[in-house]
Amino acid sequence: MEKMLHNSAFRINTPRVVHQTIDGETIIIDFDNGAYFSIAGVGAVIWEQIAQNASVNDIVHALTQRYAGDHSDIETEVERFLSELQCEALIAPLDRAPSAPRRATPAMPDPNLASLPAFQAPSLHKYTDMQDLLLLDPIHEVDEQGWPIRKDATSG
Amino acid sequence: MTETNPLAFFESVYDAYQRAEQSAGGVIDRYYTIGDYTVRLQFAGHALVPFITPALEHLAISPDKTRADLTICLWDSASTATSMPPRPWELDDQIVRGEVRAFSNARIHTMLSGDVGAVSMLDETENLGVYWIRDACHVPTYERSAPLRAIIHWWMRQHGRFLVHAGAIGYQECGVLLVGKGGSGKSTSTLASLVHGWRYVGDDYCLLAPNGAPYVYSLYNSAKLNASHLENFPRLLSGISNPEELANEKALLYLHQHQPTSLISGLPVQVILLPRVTGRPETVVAPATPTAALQALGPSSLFQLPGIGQSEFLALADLVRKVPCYHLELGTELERIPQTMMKVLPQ
Repeated sequence: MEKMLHNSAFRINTPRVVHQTIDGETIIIDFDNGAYFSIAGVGAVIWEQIAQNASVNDIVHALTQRYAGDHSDIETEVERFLSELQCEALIAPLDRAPSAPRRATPAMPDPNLASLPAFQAPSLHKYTDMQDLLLLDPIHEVDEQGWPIRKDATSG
Repeated sequence: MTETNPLAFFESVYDAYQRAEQSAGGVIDRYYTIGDYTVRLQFAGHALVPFITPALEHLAISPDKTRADLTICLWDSASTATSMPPRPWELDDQIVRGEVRAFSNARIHTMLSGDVGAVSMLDETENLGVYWIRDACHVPTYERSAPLRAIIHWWMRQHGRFLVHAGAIGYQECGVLLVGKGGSGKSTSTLASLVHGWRYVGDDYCLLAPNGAPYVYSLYNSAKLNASHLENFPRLLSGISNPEELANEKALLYLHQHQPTSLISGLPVQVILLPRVTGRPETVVAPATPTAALQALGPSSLFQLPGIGQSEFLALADLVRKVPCYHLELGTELERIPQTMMKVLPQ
């Protein structure tokens, strides 16, 4: 896997993708292939950062402020998760770099680190049970005006 | 190469409708109140009337020179001997959820039902829709049970309402939205509840006004049931409209014809239920998270309706935040389902 640049930034792949976050869990719908996804916890925090076009550095920094964990582990997991989201076409690279880094990284250890929840690797749950609602049979036969003909209407 | 001009194509289709009207020897008008608005269906001849109107019959009003907010013109080529204008887009053009993007814009919406060769169009500015199908006899069961979904949905979006894939029933002034994909038990819950004073708003699609106090409007009086579930509702057997299709299709019933007093035009949404068939005898309710409700309601609604997007998803998210949500673990003792649902209604 190609190493991700730390100042890389992404955007949510709208309008193909729509998303909503409720109570720390995000539901994502991909209109192009009929799949939908859920992410919770750390993954939902990363998603919210992507929605703000945060860079990889910004995302890692935000997570170190909220979770207790090794900085390099967090960085590795963020890059892996971003790659997964990109593979599913839920996010796309931002054409331009973020306007200004919001914080330098790595972050200083938070004095309240001991009270922070432990960092857990983000995971993306994919559901494909509704793809049949979206993916239609290809049209094979058309009439002289070019309009599709119902399959059983051609057989007599 | 065909020019991409949605308005010009709409006008050519409407011209063809007018020729079909002349060929058919006149217009058959039907008026309905849908989501507080008056909708006029204007048929070129009689051929489509028996396939389109039964599902809307409970919302019919008398056509006493009522001014329509939306007019939908319907015609078929077979009975009117009037051709549809040539298809102006390539078959491999981008068509998402049936919507032909190259022939849709802020004013004109175009949808192709590729399985039967039907076209739905709306001109938002003129409040005018057109529905065409090659042969009225080919109107599929899904269209007979829920006709004109796309046109109604497009138009209602301008008026703070949109279609959702959900059932809805009510007890007194309390509306219950039943959400979940096909096979989750929405129809079973709905039909099982039509006793003890429960009322029917819809089985599969309803019109939702999510702003303020959310309200669900009835759209269709149809109910669809898997043939294997028919034995659970022996009183409804005589009302099946498509007995010859049961080997391949769900049974289709029009409740307006058989239980008209059970129908209601709409209710405030006060509870959301997520049914699931368990196979156990008893029915159980348990609190559900808003996220679970959004997952049950959002994808199935958004995947089925053309032109729906982030703003409707946001409205659905607001709805599940505002309204209490429960899992409904459906048991096999159907008479207990309404009793159990009663436990979660506001006092």
